[in-house]
Amino acid sequence: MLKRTLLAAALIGFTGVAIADGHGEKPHANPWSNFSLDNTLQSMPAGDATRGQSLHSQMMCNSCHGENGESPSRNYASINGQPAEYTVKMMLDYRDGRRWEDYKQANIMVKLAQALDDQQIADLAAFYAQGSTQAWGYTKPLDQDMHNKVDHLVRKGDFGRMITPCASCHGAKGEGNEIAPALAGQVPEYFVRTMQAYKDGARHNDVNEGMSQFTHDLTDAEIEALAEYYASLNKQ
Amino acid sequence: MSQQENKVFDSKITRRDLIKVFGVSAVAATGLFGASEKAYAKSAGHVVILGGGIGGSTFAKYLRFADPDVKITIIEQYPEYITCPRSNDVIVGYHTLDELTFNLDTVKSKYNVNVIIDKVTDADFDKKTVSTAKGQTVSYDKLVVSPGIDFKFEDYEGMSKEIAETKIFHGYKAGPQTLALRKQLLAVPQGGTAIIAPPKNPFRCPPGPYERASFFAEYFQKHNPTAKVIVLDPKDHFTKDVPFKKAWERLYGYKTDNALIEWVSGSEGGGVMGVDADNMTVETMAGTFKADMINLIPNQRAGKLAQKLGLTDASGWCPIDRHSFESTIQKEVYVLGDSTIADAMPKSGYAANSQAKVCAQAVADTLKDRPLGRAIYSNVCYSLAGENYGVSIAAIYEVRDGFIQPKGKSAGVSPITDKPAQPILEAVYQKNWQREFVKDVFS
Repeated sequence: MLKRTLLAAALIGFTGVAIADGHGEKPHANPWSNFSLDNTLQSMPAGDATRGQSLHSQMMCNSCHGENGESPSRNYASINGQPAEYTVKMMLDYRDGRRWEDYKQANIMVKLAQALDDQQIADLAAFYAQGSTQAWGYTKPLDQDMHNKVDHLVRKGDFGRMITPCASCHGAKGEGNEIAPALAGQVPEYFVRTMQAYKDGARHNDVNEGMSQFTHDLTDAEIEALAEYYASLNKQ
Repeated sequence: MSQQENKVFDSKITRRDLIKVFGVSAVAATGLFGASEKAYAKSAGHVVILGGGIGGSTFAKYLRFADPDVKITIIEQYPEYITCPRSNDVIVGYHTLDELTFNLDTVKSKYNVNVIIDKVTDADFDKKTVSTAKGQTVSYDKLVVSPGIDFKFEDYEGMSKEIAETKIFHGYKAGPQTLALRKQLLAVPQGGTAIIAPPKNPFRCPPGPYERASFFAEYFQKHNPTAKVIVLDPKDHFTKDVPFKKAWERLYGYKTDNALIEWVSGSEGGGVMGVDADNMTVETMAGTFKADMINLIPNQRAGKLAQKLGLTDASGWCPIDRHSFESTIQKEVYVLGDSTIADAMPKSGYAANSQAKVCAQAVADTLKDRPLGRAIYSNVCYSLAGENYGVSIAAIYEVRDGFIQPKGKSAGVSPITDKPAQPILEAVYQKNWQREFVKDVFS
């Protein structure tokens, strides 16, 4: 169901946008099609959360992403409570150059992903999926108008700008679903950085612009408000 | 000091002259990092720096931070500088020389430093002047010398400067030497042998030969798996030897029958006594070694300019005051970097950078008759034992009992852990280190 939504959204959206100048991916990285992504995810080995927990420490993921994947700092993403498919896809994207920010923070992720095999990636994904998200502790409250505005975006979307409700992929409580990440409790600085990278075309590891197409017409203020909105949510 | 001698600063300066000498930024004389109007006055103190490498460039920039009122001139022989840090990468093709090449343009325009590209031939410490190959005479109030190193080819039978430029390369000054080593490495036949012969202590970049041995082994692993690196060492220990050897075990089968690296220590007779460049053999106490390439890194002493100016002592290195890096042989002359006797501090680019900052503050304080502070230095060296395998060493230094020594428990080397991510992360940090370091020095 989700994939069909993403595909439909992609078909409606402007798929003709030129690929940006390679800031977001390694030259000649092999982009996903719905088909190839589906097949790859299907062929991944089953993950084991206990082994994943051990890898979380062995690969020093915990030094940035926290003891159980909850970021202790605004610099890094929280990865606890993420759907396993999402974590697997991100690690493959880093490993194979679809998410590539050379000499930036992501360079660490590229190198670590290249050191992992499919089983290890699946194990890590199982460990994070087993955890639950928790609200970010440093959110700034939104004023009522802005809250209403982004709450509407999240639950109803914006027909005029052809923006699908965020909740249709990311869940009513921001809990995520398959390759659509959980947003509840996400570090707002990371949220904004990610949305801006989609918006300005630097990042395009999403399939058929399944995400980026919704960001182009969002204002900076809306992106920041969405970040605070989701940061304060807590998947129950 | 005549007007003729120091015409850049001592003539009457018009706005147009300023633009000519320093670029447009100088005209806004109170710019963020720029010189004040006083720096262009005839009465301003003049600090002249010999050598625009890591030590000299850092010093110029940080002296400007410390003192907007002083005139600063760098005299450097070459218009471009290639950093020795990361030049090992060029040998195996992880970097190009272009990526390691810098110039003084930014330091000149951003910090209002006068740059003269010319070779210094002599100095007159009584008249406080420096003379150059093109016949310029430059007066100074304080002189800073950052001359690098010189090689003792005479320590090895059959070795000479000429052979070092044609057959047996050291690769310890980045540039043509680096490319020559690359050419030789690529030409090693299948199953061949490369010899790396590190020098005795003290020498520039203590981990350099061992990083290079690691890179050669990694290159052979990929392209020439039956070839071998032999390290012929006059020493029994080297910097970071514990993590280096662990990396060699993990990556290159060190101490197994299929080892890509063999290390012959000093007590095993590894010290090189002589070479035969025509037959490509190396003479040691442990016997004669035949190789397809010989990378002899000769024993070292302070750079030629330091010797010429009489700033060295019997050890061949330059003694300095530990709090200011002022020469203890010649007042008002300061020496920076590899050529100095800095006790526990290694001869590294980072150390030169740290010394230059302390020295800049000391010179600024002296020029303004302020008391000198207590010196604190630091050093961080990242090396690669493989493209994705980093090892590091770091320390903070203070002057204690008359010597520069690590402060408290600040000194440390990469630990050996069972975490596969640790050396991978250190290799990433190494790249970040390099990027930020050259920014600090040259921009």
